[in-house]
Amino acid sequence: MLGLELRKTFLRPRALPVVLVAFLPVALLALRMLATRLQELPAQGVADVAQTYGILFQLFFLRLVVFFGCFGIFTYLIRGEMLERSLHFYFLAPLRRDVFVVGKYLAGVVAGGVLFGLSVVVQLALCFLPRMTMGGRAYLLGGPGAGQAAAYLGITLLAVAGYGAVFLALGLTVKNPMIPAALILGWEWLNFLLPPALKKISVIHYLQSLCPVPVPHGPFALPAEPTPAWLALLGLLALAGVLLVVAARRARHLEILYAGD
Amino acid sequence: MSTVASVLLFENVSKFYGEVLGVNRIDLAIGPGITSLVGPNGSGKTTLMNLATGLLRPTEGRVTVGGLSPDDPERLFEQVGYCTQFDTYPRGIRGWDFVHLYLKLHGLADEPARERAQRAIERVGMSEAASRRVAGYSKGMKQRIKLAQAIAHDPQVLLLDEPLNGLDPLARSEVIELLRSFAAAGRTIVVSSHILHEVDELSDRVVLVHGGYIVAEGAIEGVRDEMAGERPLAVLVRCSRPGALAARVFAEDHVVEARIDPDGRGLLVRTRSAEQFYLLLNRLAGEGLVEVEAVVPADEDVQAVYQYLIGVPTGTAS
Repeated sequence: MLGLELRKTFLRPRALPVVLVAFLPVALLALRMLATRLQELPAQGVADVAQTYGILFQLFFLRLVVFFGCFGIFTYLIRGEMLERSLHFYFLAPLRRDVFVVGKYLAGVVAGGVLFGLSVVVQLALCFLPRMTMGGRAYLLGGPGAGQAAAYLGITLLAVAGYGAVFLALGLTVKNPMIPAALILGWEWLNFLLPPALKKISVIHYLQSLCPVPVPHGPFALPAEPTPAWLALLGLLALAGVLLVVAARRARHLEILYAGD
Repeated sequence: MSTVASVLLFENVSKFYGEVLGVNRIDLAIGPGITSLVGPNGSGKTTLMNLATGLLRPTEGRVTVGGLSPDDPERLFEQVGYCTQFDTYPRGIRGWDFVHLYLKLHGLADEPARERAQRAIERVGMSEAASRRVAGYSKGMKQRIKLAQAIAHDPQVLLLDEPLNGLDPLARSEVIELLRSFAAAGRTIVVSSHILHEVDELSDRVVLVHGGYIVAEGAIEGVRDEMAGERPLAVLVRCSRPGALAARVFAEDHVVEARIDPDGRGLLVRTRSAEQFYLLLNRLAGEGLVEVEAVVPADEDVQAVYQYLIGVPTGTAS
């Protein structure tokens, strides 16, 4: 099932927008690098680059790229089968529906994890490889760079798991997931303005707590203590687990009533 | 696969789609052999099959197949194969994968799954086309690959929703033969159809469904014979050169009408002897007079047949 899902996620025209979204930061970084070269601007130091990347990662990559990418992948996992009228193929197999939901979810996490993880690797390469002779090597191999890179990859995977569970459950519970997704985007995006108690009801708060480079959120931000890493990790996994249970319960009562029947 | 008592049981089952009636207060027990659910389009046949396989949930009542609830798909689909009416498939899938992946979902290792897929595909005569994408199949080929999937895991109970729809005469008789061989092995086969001629050819027993109710049930033997000559059967043949076919079939005594479809790619034939017509069509196709793409029964006036069969107006609850 995993193999079938991966093929469907990557090897079809519908996957193209998600792939383009995933590699948007890569394109932006490449353009920035090109512009710096063409205008012969002085190169940033490694520490400044790490800070700039931290901002890009938190404010653009996590909040928009992974968010929309996961929306594209996960809402379509089961809803897509309904729209293409092929869900009965799975429902007529000797497969418990909760196992089916978990299988779909894992396929989405693997697909999204590979896609966005690859994007992070290329982004980091574009940021640091040109500076290997200017302290980049020491930063990556002897300094905090390697740990930060690993953290970014891990956070990306958690973001896919967290947003994936949100959108999988959403795709199964509402007919049109666009409007709830827009509300969730607003909630996640404006998280820095929320009081500390409300901040914790979001995926982005826990992801930010795990980020290796803190990012300033401006004068209007309401500061909150970051959640300890272990708690953030458990919190995200628990959230994904609860949402999967919701999705599985919904799937168990799902009927095949394709539109137009 | 293990054996279970092959009995399909509906106990006071009702299904409503919102306020629209699907089926109402159905009590039905189906045993081994071939049973046909007969009724016009929208009468509730597909609803009954979908309820039996868990694709729909009853609003009231209980359905069991071989003692198993549709809520237990893991065990149920070890015993049940269902050839649905849905003509949609996972996008881009090939005929072979459609059957093989289904067997893999049954938990079979690759090699046994390949062997079984091969066998099932051979049984429905799709070996040559199996490597092609299902999306490019004709209606009849899609029917056959669905049938291959339904029988691939060697189920004890086989549910087939309009399985002969769109099959050419040769494939049709092969499928009927296949179903008979399944029934002869003591399995339970339920076929839905709105074509009495098909039912007559296939079934040990019929269940007449109309307006969501079971109108009548019992053996069909002899009924069709009584009707022969009184009520011509309509068949739509999608083919090349429908004009040539019309000229040829119209010379036959049993053909009462032959009308070319407005799109020029089909011929509607009304015949008093379906058997003779299918034999003739087979022969003409064999001689190369026409290339037959599909043969679709087009007999819509089933209600009149019910009245003839059971002697009461349709829609009367039993």
